[in-house]
Amino acid sequence: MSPDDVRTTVQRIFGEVFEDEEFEFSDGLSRESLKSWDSLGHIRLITAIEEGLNVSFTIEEIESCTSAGKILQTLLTRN
Amino acid sequence: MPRLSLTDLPWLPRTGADFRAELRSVEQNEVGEWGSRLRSLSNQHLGLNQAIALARTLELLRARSPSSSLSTFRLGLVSNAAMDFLKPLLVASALRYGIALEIIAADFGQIMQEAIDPASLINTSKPDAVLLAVDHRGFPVCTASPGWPLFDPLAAIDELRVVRDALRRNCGALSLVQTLPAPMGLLFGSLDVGTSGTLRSTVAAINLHLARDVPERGDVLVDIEWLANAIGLDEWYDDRHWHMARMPCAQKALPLYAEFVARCLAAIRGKSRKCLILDLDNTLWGGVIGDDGLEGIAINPGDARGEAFRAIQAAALDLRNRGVVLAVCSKNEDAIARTPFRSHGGMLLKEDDIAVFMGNWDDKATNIERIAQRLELGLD
Repeated sequence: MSPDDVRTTVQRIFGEVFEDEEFEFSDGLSRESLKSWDSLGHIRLITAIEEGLNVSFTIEEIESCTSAGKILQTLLTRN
Repeated sequence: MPRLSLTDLPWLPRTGADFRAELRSVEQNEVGEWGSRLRSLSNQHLGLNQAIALARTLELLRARSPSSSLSTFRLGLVSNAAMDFLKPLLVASALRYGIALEIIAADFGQIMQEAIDPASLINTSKPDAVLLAVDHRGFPVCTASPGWPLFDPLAAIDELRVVRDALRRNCGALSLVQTLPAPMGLLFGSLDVGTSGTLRSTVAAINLHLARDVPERGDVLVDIEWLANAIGLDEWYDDRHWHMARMPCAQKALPLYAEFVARCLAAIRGKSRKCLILDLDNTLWGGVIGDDGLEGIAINPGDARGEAFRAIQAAALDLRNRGVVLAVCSKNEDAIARTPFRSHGGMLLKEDDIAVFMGNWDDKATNIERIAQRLELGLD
């Protein structure tokens, strides 16, 4: 999957998981900027990304993925 | 099409792209009774995020006006794990059985305290039933003294008994008691199962006790051990989610877990399914009786397709033998549709096994209504 495809998929998943909030998707989107991106929201997000892209994160990666940019960066190191 | 596994609830239709738009339309307009519309939306395979949306809509509408078509159920929830994700899925699954579920969840890990304190959240909420969602990580199964045995079932069995008795005494609720999935790790490999003092044999002993004791004392068993085995322990457990957030199992197992619990709630409310309506062509046999004729349909032993359709018939017969009524609804000429039941040696189902036989060219919905009338059953 190309970096652009990964970005498109991650953006779509953000929309589905946090569908009750209005937000602009960008690298800078972080846990502080979304109310529903709390600890449970984080697990829903990570699980949805793992299913959607058929990858698996380590606990360290899950804990450090605190913004959309960091998630994309972690995913791109997989390719 | 990819193969659907049990965790995908393969018997339910997949959700359409407009699921959320449909939810919004139920929220916004007053066309029809909202309970029955939400119920029909719940009859699809819903993932966690969709279940959250559905549960939110139910809460919104229930606050606005009661539903005439749904019955209510208050379920207490205590667990040694985090139940946050199971809750919306329980609500969505209960809707499939016409139940508007209200969940009162105790704080994580508060099992004994909730049961024995008459002023606890669970006891003062007067729930109809309490789900004891506890697995081996929530029971005192380790022995206190060093050395062998490492594990012992008696303390866990006693604790569960005390919790159930206290709930019954303090709020009159039934307990829904889960059997415990086998643990993943083995200490002596194949010897664990037969060696008392191992975790595996301890969990097995607790389950054996529960299977007898729970129904005897008027409580309800939820066989989560079977469920975890059916999907595979490797799929059931997700250690990352346990260590990060005390999730009891993998997220993808939750929709099936919730559906399984909802069936018990339905049974308690007398809403178990009572009738199985079967189609004929390419359902009970392979091929089309009207085109292929008696000799042409696949229902013979020794032939792979025939064996597969015989397995379906055997499953239907098992249901009949436990009291589920069988009916047929098929777009066919009545006499032709009945021929295999009368004169094909490969058929396991006979005409007498079918309580109502609808072989005609009318639409299925009308025929299903007729079957319900004939059997004096509701359409729920």
